[in-house]
Amino acid sequence: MREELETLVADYLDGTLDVGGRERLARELDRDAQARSEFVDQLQIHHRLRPALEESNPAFIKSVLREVKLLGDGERFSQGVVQQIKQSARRRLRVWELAAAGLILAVLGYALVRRDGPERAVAAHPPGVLLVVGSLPLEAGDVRVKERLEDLGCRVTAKTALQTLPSDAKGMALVAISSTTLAADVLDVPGELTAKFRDTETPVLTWEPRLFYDLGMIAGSVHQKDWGALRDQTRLNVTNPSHPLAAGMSGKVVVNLQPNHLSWGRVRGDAIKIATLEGDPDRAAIFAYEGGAAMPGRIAPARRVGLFLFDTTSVQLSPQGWALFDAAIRWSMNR
Amino acid sequence: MTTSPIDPALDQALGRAQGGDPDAYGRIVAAYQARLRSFIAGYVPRAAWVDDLAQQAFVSAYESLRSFRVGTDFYAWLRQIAYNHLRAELERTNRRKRLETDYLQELGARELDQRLDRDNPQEDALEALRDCVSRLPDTSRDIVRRHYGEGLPLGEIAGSLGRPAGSLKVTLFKIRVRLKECIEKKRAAAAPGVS
Repeated sequence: MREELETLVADYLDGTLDVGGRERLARELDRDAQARSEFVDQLQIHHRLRPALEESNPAFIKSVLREVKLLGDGERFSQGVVQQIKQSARRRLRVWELAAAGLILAVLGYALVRRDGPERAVAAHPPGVLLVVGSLPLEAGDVRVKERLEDLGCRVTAKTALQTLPSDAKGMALVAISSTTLAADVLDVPGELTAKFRDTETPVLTWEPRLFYDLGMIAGSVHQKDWGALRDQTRLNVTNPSHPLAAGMSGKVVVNLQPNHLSWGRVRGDAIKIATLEGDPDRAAIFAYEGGAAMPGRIAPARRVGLFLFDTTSVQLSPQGWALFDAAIRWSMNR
Repeated sequence: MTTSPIDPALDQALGRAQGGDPDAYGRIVAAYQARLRSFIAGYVPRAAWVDDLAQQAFVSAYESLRSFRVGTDFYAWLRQIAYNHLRAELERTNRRKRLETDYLQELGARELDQRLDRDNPQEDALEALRDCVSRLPDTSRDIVRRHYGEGLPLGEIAGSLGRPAGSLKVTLFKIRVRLKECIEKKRAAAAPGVS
């Protein structure tokens, strides 16, 4: 391999090759089969050396065990869901009576708010958002989310999943649960976070895909089959452009400026499906339920939204990505 | 090199894990993670895939653990599960439309997919690589261990050696060439009919 090519490959593997260098390297490899083979040799050895030489990798072991323990938690919860469905069938008549009364009150309330104008109402009483996160101080992705919520006029209270209580949702316009919650807390207290906001009558928006099942928003609990976070993604496919959650967009939309994870869940026909992963119409990246709607696991006590963000996605979200985020926040809070 | 020796303590842990004890499974993960991650690492275009795919394989194995017969080769069974995940991921990447920004990754995925087909799945790349590292000259071995084993950035290692970082990158490139040659020689020596 020529010296210049060696330098390009060395920089690429070190993560220091700029865009121009990547393009030069791509051109060289495209026309030289021998160079391609040597490039892949380098890639193989480079990737293998780390696992070969590490003394141990406790973080990896812990991560696998977390997944394994949560599988057990999912099974326990699914049994709980069966019970819940049985109970909800008995209560359904009462729920519909309450929903009808709620609808009348909502119409009256909307008329009153409309008279004052939404901007003035927001300025006078900023809506409270409980942001549930994995750790404090906030991680980079959660910092961006909090800043954006504040830009939207929200009063944000950030708490860790372990600190927060179901009663914290009272008086809030929204509970927003970040995907960073999982790493910090669910391993130590299986099922704890999943149960906290399952029945809250405050709207809940989450981008922790595991919680889609725990909150009753999807039917299946199996990682990678029913929910997950797909890496190296930049675009979504907006399939329901007329809904407010689509923010006026349709078709393929770039949401990440750099490839990153996108959360998804496999929803049923009863969900409002807004967007899917690109090339996979069964994996919903934005989906929602109206309050009182039947979800796979329970009747939605208030609006519920599943969103495509993941831990660090918001650090490099595109303007379209933020527009979808804003739309999700506003719709969740019915504003 | 073709099968894993049966370890009675790990077999006991497997038995407990089959009974639903996730902590016992932790012992299994600790015992096999380096080997499995090394296998996966040889066929992924980006380092970030290694732990994701290894984790998927371990979790899938746990979910199917009742179908595993204790006393047989657990690693071979686990590696087959990892192979299936790896193959699915490479095929998915290869199906994606070519994008300029992802080209190097896609090129890697395409070439590695072919190697996954071609290589001997029984081969234990981990031990061969460790042995080849141990045969490197002292300075080269030290650079490799500090960078890959301890995770030190090349700039820091270069500073301690009084060398420019750029020249150390090229040195590392040449060390990787040497390691590849060493592994090829070991592979050839282990091939049937070679004494």
